[in-house]
Amino acid sequence: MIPVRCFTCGKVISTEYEEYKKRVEAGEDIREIMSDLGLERYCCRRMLLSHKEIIDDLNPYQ
Amino acid sequence: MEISFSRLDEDIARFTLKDATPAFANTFRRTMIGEVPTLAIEDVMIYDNNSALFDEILSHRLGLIPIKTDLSEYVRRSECSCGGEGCSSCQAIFTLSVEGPCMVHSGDLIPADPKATTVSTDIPVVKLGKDQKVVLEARAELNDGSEHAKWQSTLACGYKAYPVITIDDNCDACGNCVEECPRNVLKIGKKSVEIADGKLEDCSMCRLCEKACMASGIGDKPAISVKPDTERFIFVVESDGSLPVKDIMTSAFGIIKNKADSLVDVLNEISGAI
Amino acid sequence: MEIKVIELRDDLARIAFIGEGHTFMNALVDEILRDPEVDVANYSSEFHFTDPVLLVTTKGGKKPVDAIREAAVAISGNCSGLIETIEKS
Repeated sequence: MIPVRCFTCGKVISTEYEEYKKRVEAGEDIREIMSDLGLERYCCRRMLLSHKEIIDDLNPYQ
Repeated sequence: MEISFSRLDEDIARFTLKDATPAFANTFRRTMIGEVPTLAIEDVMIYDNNSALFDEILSHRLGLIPIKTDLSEYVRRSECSCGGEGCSSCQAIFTLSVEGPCMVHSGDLIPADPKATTVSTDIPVVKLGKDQKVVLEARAELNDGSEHAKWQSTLACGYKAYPVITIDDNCDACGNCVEECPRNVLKIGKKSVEIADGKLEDCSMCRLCEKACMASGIGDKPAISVKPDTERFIFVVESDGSLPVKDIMTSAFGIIKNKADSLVDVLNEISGAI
Repeated sequence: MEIKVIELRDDLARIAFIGEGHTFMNALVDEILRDPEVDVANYSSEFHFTDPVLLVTTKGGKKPVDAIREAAVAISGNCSGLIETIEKS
């Protein structure tokens, strides 16, 4: 699961993850998506950029 | 002391604090970050959780969800008239009951107090698969950022000294400093370099302009100099949404004032006793 | 606020502030030092979980407790002024 807040500054970033993922898959420029979503600082940007979602792999094992 | 806002929104403010000492500016900053109380989930009673996340991870995620706080309605549990047992004036209760397959969002938390709701309704908490289920009761309480970062009301909260840029008469408007400035604070004027309109506050006082000026062979002193003004501070305060920035600022000043006032009272008692 | 007077003479006061940290102490010391009759104003805490101890010495017959009180009054006055301007904007 995406962390609820940015580790460094505490901004809630998890709300933007769904849209971010969708737009990345649609092939948009990542820099523009992030600026669009209001992620100004690089601490918040790396939260989305470096996230690997593994909840679907874990779910079968409870 | 004086405050003038250049921007004041619900969740972000930019302002300058004038005629203050660095010590006072820092105390103000530290109070806003660490001592303005907000609500955050502290206790979670988990009745059922067979999701992929452990109970403690789930409660940690719940704790980080910002909750709209009315400071006039809630008091800290340790200072409550109920004696810390937990009542409606020191606790906000939420219930959550979701069955998969679906994503559990912060909006699924149903508040007992309609005023103390989550700031955002679409913070993902956990993804549930088929036959997975989460049933829990969460209790939010008032506390401050020095206890845990989940109670911190501010995000980016800081200040810098106001930059003072002076350009001497011997500036020949060569433009080396204009090119070097990473924030485009300077521009070339008629006779000398000038500060671009409204850009002064962007200056980070990196002094690359001074270096560039020296490198242009102007002599042993640069024609441009950047100094911090130690009595004026540019503040940026961002809120996580639990409190409007204006409330954060007023309650921070209120906290400092209360401390100072109660110190005066205590000292009066002491000097009366001597 | 809870304080503990450790030492009190005509020109020296040593006071522990229970439960305070740098946040308030630094501003208080800075404000006390603005008084020209104050010689030394300093605070220190042995460990970061112990209570800070404020040391104030004065010259010219001023009572150190008065210097601390005046500083606290000044801080309080600054805050009330600022609260007013924020509420107006």
